[in-house]
Amino acid sequence: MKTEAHVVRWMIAAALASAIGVSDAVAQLNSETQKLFEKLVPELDSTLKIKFETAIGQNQSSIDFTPEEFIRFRKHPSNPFAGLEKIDPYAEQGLIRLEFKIPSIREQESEPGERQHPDQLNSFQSVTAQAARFTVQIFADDKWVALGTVVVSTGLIVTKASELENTTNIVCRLSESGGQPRDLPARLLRIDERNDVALLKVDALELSPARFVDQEIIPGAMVVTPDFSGKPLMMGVLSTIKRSLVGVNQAYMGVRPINGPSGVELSQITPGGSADLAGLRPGDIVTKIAEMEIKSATDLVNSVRLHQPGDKVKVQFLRGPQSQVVDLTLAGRNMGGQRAAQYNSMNQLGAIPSRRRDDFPMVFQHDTPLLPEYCGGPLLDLDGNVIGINIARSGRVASFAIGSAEIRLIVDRLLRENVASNQ
Amino acid sequence: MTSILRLVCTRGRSFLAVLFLLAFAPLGSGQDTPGLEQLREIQSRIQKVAAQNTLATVLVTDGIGSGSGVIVSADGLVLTAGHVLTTGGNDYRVTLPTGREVKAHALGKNLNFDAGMVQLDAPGPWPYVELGKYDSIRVGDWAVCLGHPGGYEIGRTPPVRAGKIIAVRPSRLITDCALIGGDSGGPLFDLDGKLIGIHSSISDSISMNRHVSINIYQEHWDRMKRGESWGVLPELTDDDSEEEVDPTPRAGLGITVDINARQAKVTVVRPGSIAEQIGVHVGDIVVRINDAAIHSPQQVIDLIAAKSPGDSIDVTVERNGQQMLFSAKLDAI
Repeated sequence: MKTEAHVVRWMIAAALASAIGVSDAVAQLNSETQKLFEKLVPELDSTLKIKFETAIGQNQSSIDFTPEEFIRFRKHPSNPFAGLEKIDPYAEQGLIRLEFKIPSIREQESEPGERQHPDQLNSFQSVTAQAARFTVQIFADDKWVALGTVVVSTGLIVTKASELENTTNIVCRLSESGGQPRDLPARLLRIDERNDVALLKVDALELSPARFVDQEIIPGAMVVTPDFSGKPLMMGVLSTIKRSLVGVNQAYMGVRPINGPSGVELSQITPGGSADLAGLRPGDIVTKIAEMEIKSATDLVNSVRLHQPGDKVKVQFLRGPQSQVVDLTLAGRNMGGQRAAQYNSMNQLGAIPSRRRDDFPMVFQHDTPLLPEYCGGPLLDLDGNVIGINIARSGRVASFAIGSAEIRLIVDRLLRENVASNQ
Repeated sequence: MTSILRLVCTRGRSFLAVLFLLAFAPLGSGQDTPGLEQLREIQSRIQKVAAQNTLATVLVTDGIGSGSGVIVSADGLVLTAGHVLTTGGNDYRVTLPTGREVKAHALGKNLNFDAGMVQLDAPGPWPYVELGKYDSIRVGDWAVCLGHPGGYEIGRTPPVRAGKIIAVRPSRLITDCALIGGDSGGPLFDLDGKLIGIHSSISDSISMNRHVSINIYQEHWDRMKRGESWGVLPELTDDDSEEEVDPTPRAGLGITVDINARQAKVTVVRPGSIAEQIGVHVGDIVVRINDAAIHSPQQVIDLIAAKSPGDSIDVTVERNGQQMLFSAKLDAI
């Protein structure tokens, strides 16, 4: 059994420093490692099982083995770690401590020869340098959550609104030419929910706003995303022209609900649809979907729309006097539930999708593998023009940006609403 | 933990998750940093490649799974991934980026390499792309990828992605052009717009996207075009650092004989094999193949191994004291 190179490298490194007696603080279990442990547990013999269960229970990523246990684990067919054969279990006296850790996507560095490697990105340095003047880094409660774009010299900045949800303390980091970066507290003025754009205000008077250039979107054109200091973060190419994503990724249950005398009744079931596959029948009265009480047909529609295609939800319903619960996998517009569920998991391979990534009224698509916190800032073409604002990492193959023409309208509207609300 | 996934969108079957060792060829860190003028040149070529080849990038579906494909001739020959043709349906439909739907039928496939062909069932001329040369593909080159990720989306042209060739293997290419379910069978182009690969599988690294290289199609072209299907999809366990063994298909009848027995007694008849079709039974004793009398189980194995798939042989078996003669065309296994 083999596993990925970075794990291998890590494992070897870990193994070299693994003799017990090293009394380092035990690192916390990250979620990827936890998932891997949980997958392993049912496969292992009882002694090994207890070790991994204990690690999960105590939120620890390191496990101590006796040499015999270590050999048993190394030989086990479901052991996913390579490089273990390089460890001599009898090299030191006593136990062998292995530190298990799968690096998160944020920690992964690109290899030489990949398009995001610093050697390649350096080519974009001259393209992005000017963007330091209008690109800001946004922290919420001391965590980097987004980038932002200066739109008015008197301290008005737009960013991705949903990344600020449930946060209180917003700080914008601006670059000072030749000096230290400057951190300014920001106030949230307005939000455009449909476009997921927020308008922020910092106390500054002489910022340089971005000039939005309404460039024609030609698929294949190179784009680059700068950070607040004008360095290229990542490159990509334009994938599609502008389109609306409203409803494109809507979830469907495959029923027609009516407000009946005894509750929300399913009057029709689409053959082969999600409800049909889950065993629901015409006449069933739906009472709950994923913990949400269903009191009207509208409740049912709304509860489905809160989810993504591929999500599994528990549906509680009455058939006659009897209350029953089924698991139902929601379908998408082009895909059945199972397929949508598969697609969703592939979508997260090598990518961390933004929390809000659907239903944008008008965006174009590019293939920059943005992290969620890279959204909200400007997207540049090879001439350094701001052709839009990154608004979401959709998943493995796509990021979305709002084009300059649209962002200008959105900003104008936010500014007008802000003035109106101050009067 | 790494899993490699084939990229067809399927309904029932959950995808295969297998661990493997991701190892890149040593590339050195002294990569040239292209200047801005070079970037502009690369950009204009990527744009041209995308514009030229978009209309030939199609969706291939049997109503159960959906993948992509690319038209390579004016009369509508489509290259796709082998596994796109294994999702269970029989009636294929191809959707062009214009939204036009065309009936199609599956031709052959070489599953050993995940290669397959489909023929459009309507008269052309169709937009098509030109084939490139495997020998001219270099690590570090830019490549352009098209396809229908997630299936056909009305109003969306096949999204353009671009990246670098990270490794060139005997039968496949690895790039950092990101792929996902539905892309399977879609085209990978070089900067001259020539087809150099067909999308096949991914791992959980954004830089690990695998494409069947064009030489595989060229080598097995005639057989696939004739409608022959052979081989088995490789386990998605994959050590990319090693040379692949060329799984040249071997001839097979679909029977197992007990090698330790005195006579060549059939112990297994593989379901779906040619042996099953012609009526060989478990317990039959092979006594003659063509003109050779069979005295030992090893003789059966050797005689069949010396044949090629498609060869005809005569097999005489003894069943309940009676001799029976069967004629068979050997399977590829």
